[in-house]
Amino acid sequence: MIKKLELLPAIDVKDGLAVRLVQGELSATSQYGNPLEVAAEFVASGAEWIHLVDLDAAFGLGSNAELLEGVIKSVDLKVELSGGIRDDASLRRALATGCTRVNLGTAALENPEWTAKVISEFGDRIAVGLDVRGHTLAARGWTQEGGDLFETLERLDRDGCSRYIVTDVAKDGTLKGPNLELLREVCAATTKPVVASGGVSSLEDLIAIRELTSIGVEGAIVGKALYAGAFTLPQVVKGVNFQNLVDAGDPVELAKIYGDAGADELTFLDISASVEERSTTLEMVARTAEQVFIPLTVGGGIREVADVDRLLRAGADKIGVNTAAIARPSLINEIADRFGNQVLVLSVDARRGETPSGFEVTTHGGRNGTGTDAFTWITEATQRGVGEILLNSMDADGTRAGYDVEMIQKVREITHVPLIASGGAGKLEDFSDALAAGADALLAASVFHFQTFTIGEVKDELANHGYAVRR
Amino acid sequence: MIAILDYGSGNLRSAQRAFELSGHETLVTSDPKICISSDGLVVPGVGAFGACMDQLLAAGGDLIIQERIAAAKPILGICVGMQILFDSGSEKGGSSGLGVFSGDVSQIEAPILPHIGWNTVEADPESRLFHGIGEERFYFVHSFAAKRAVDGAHNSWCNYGEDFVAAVERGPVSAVQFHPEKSGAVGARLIANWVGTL
Repeated sequence: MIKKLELLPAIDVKDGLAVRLVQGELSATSQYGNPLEVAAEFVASGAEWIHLVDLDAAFGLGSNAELLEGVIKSVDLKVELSGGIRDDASLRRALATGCTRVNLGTAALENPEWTAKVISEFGDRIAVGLDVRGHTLAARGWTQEGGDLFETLERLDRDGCSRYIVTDVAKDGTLKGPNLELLREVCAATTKPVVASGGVSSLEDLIAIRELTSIGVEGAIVGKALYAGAFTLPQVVKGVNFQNLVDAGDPVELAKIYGDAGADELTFLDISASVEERSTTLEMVARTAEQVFIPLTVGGGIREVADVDRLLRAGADKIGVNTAAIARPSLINEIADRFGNQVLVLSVDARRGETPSGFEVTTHGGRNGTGTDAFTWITEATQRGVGEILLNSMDADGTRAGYDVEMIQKVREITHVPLIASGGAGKLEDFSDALAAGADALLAASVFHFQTFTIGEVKDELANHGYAVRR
Repeated sequence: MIAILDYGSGNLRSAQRAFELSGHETLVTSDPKICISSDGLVVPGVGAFGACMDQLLAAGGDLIIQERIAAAKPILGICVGMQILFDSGSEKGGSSGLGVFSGDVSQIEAPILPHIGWNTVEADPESRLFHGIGEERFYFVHSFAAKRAVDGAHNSWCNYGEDFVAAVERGPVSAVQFHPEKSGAVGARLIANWVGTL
């Protein structure tokens, strides 16, 4: 499944100024100004993350630590901090800045024992930067060689490294497009999330990287293209994460197209809840609800009753909850008591696993197992007050080999609330098969986005099988 | 002017827009003066019967509705905004309603609840709301409904597990269990029919 791509606008700091390097050469820099101002601009543009690099520390030429700490304290967003973190002292200093995570570079190549130790101590606050030339790693600010990419990856995976930042040294700062093949190779070699870095020059590049979210790419660092004005961050925030081959321009336009084409409901999923994006989401929901008069479900980032109230007031009819309800199940009761069960859709990302029912709840688009039994969770959530189940099969998702008929049948037996099947639609027959298995409604995205067939054709197919459909 | 009664029960923006499309100025408001004097009053409703009633009473909505009925000024209740017009609702232990219509709102007997989706309505032939609307589907989201016909009213019916009242029209008061503002083009026709009575 193609998911939201995290965007990490980069601020590289040298001598107290935001700069950009070209292919890692310190001699080839261009200056862009005060890092604090650049950070504030990113915040205003809707960034959720900043990738902050101390170039002086990376090259062993000094430190901008105080300034970087000031930047981190000045902005209300997540920060990935990078550059010159090679020992306990520099790591602790970096973590103490309040950054969300740090990115180890050279040290992870030169000092495997220390790296393993800090990974086990700090968990996902540690990411490892893999700066790659061909299949060889570059170290010391890319001026020395640092070993084979895949051997290093295997070792770091073994040590429990939670995330990799992959940079193609030959592409960085060149605006020549990302190395998609390298990203595919790294994703194939590890199950951990990968952040792409280097070479992004256009929205099209980000859309291409976003396609790789289905195989494990989580985010992309964007640097020079932003500074050079190739695109703006608001364009990226709005555009890329809803972009698709239909290229309807914006989600509201897409919603209108689907509404006119006969969709019975619309669902916006995976919508971020950062403070910056919240207003974007509300505006999008409001504009959609003003123009498309069919039910609208909005999911993603709902953590409290107030989030639900805002979305309903903006024009959403139903609210999808997923991760936040897993973390705090009483959220379901709170929402249902205030707005009724019918407003609440439980989104369950389930895959086959070693739990009693044979199906396990996952998070992060199916990458992380929770160990929770999917059927137990559905039963509990239904008792707490969800009005509908959106059942996403992470096994079927992206395969286009049909809905997960076995899982639909089994879930149908244990729940009395409406069941929306999701994941795997590829052929017209898939839709009637899923209804026959017990689904009450069917969700599909890519077959419509990629115009494999139309909503009308799906309805014809269902009508031919004797199902009543709205015309 | 059409007032949409804002008493803290979500989903008002799209309702406002749907009524605006009928060509009338439309305002989302809790101001009693405006709500009483407007040409039409829409009473929306999302959530549990009891919670909705509590909020309606807190906003003085009961008095607004009574004054309008006394003055024969049109009201349209939607979803729980319809349900609270009845004597009582049995959702979550039971609550009193406004008693505009006699009868109880109780859980639908159906294997799968809530009733969510597009369903057909068998309209009373005399209905003004359904005038010119044939065998069409409207969007429903609910688990509770009125099961008995309201005396002296035009009752229109839906079936999901059992028959229930999908719409009721008596004097100035109209109410629909489904969401016309979410029922696409056919919903817009029904709204236009109601607006035509103002």
